[in-house]
Amino acid sequence: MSRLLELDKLKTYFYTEEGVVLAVDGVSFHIERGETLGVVGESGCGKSVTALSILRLVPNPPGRIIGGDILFEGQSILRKTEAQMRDLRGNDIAMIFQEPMTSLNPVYTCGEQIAEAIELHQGLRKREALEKAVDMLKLVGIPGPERRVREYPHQLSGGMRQRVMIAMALSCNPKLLMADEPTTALDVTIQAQILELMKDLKQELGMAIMLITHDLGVIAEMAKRVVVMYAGKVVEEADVAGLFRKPLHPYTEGLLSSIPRLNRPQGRLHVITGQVPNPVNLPPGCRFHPRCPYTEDICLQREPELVDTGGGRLVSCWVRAGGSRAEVA
Amino acid sequence: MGYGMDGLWARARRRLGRNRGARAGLVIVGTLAVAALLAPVLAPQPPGRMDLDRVLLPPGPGHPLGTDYFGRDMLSRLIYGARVSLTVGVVAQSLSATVGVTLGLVAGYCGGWTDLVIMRLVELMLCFPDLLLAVGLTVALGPGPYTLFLALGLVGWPGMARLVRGEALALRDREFLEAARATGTGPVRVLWGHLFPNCLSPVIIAVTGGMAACIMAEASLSFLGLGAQPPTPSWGSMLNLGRPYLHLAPHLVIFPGLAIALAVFGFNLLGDGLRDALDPRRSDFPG
Amino acid sequence: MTAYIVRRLALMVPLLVGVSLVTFTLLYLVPGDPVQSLVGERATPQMVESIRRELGLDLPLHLRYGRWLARTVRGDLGRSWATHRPVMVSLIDRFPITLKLSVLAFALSTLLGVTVGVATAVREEAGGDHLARWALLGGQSVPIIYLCLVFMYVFGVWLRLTPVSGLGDGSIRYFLLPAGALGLYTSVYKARMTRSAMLEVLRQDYIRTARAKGLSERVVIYRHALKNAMVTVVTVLGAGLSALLVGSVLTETVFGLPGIGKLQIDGVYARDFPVVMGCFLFQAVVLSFTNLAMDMAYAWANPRIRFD
Repeated sequence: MSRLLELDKLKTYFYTEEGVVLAVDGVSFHIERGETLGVVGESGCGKSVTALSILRLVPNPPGRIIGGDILFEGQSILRKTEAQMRDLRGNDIAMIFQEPMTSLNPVYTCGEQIAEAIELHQGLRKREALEKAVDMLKLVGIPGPERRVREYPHQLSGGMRQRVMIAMALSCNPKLLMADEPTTALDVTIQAQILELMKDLKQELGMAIMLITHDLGVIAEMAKRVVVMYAGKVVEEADVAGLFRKPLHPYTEGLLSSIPRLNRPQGRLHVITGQVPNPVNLPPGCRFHPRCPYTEDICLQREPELVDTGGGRLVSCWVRAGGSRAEVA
Repeated sequence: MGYGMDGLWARARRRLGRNRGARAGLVIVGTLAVAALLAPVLAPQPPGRMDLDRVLLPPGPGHPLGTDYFGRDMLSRLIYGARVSLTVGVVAQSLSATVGVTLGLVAGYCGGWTDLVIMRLVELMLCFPDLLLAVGLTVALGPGPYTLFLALGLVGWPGMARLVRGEALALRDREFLEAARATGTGPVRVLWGHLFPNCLSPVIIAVTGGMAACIMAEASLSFLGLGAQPPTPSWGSMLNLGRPYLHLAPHLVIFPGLAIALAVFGFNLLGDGLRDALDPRRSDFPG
Repeated sequence: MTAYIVRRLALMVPLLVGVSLVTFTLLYLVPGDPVQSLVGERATPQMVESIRRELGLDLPLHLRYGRWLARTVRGDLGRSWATHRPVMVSLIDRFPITLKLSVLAFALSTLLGVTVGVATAVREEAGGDHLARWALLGGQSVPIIYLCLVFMYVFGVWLRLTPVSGLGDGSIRYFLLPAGALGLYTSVYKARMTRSAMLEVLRQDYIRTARAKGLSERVVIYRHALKNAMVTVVTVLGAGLSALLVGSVLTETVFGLPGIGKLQIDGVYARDFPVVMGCFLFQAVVLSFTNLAMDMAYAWANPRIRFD
């Protein structure tokens, strides 16, 4: 049986007045059925655009998928018609967004918005769909679902709205749930509740999750495998335990050492120096070299490839993936 | 986001240059200004010269846009008409901007009773449909150029006052004003020297839009016979004079109407481009 | 809800008093002697004086205003100086014509404006150019009087499809041109508002959510975007009503339709004080009520607003 999702050298560029932004530039990774994959990186590294590309919802203009392929259950998403895509969206692949405050339509009730997807994909009538919406609200742990289903988004708190978003996303039993920073906009205590809820629901429903976040703590909590992105590229891929034990890419190293630890004596928190590069004017060679403490001559000249170092660990770095230098040279 | 004034202007110039609409607007407005200034040089004939042997001629040799009922050259009258429209616009806008900005700054900065009284007055004035207020004033004062200036100037100030008050209110407690007050700057200097420059871009946008509205209103008033009085060649009164000959000589109506529309369009384009260029909230980068 | 309406109606009273006071003061400034122009050159000074007293013109401003207000509150707007008809009767006679013109124009402009606004916004969001934006800006630059004359020429004189002007027997044929011109004129504003509101809404996160659900573009636009855009559009329709009113005055004048606007402008020419005053007041009342109706429509469209 084919993999659930496979990205092959995906390229999504934005053509802006300032120049071409290489938002996603040759990204490859895959997701197995029922697996939780973490995608981590700073804001602007292309992780959200990757998710939108998978749904083919990149705002066009200015964005366009210009290369590579996305395979969902072995079939190319890029070769599907718009009607086939609509069949996929919200049905096989669902997505929840970072901003629960603005991601729900203010002029329709929560129930109507959940029921809409159910009516569309499962062919239920409005009344039945609304009943199912109540069940979904119950499932995501909203108290008084019969009442809440008739309420408008502005009557709900941020955490409640994110629960509604999750209910909406899961209402058609998707095979893949993409969660783009689902807890970033929420209070810390609510964050924990939402993550717990997602974990439980995954147990219950068995969908795969692609969890996009800038927070390695969330990854540690939720994911088995993780992909680290920097400036539109995958710089490292590893299982979570291995990544935390020994990060290979200097960028990952920097990310990890900037997390405060309670169990380890530490002087000052480490900070990655420098700034995220200007997306229309990327540095030559390795895109991370201006901020990297280990830079060598070759890093300035040639872009490193993502190299398999064995045991499912991939890294794109001249310094850390030594063998590759000989191959390329 | 914070931009220094210099950054704002440089960016505005860059964006304005890139905005094709704004450039087109600038060309139209510039052409009108030249026509108005150089009317005696550009016009083929004096606008009032009648030739009763050559009345209601269609566009043709000698009279590129034809002649009117008194045999006056339409092109010449249209060129002089630009003078009337622009003069009325500039004077009325200066008046409404001065009154509106002053009252708006005072209301926003002082707050309290001053604000309450000024804003009630503004709301009252805004209840009158603009043109009808001007009609009322014209009846009261009798038609004539000064009435026109005053009527259109008084119509524009409440909107301007409301706009500036909003800006002033938002800026009132910002640090740079605190700093100015702390160093003992007097209230008049705080208002005009520190507060006003920071409200400048919305005022410029509003004045440009106001010019368009003024030209339109002047045309309507003159059309009703309540604006510029004959023999002044105003576009609005030319429309009115041409109306009875609509079936015989439609060019008497077509050309003045086009002139009004073009002038208004020019200012609208410019105002629209300025809005894009001067609004710091609009980002260059769509994200 | 009832309490809200009652409060709004109560707020209208000081506003209308203000409007009438401003208008009254304005007209009081009228130079020259209105009585002289009423009775003509041949009247003796005694006659002029007696008419002046009869009309109350010899009293100071505040007393005249007081008398006028006292009568107005009882529904008596005085009599026209020119025709001696009660102003209230003239207003009631002519109101149906203005109403017919305005309702036709309003319906046309809303239909046209919203359709064009949505279409141009969707086109631009899908990567179109700014052509529509400029075209609409150009449309907004055409004065209503010019539009009326062009309509007259094209449909009345040239194609001979409709009567050129006047009321005729009052049938709908005589309203086609004026309502068409006025509707087209006011539709541009609505199209621009709808367009910018739609562009704003189409950028919102919940539109992305709707697309991510797998809804078709038609449902996304008409069910999810348009209703939100209309919430914005309805709030600015108040300004559109004022434009409709001004437009109807000019349209009636150009087409010679004997509605309120024509009554008012004729009153202005004749310096017929009570008529002009009555028209201003009538327009203020109509505007206040339609604005209230607009606010209620806004509340209906937007679940975030509730009367309390």
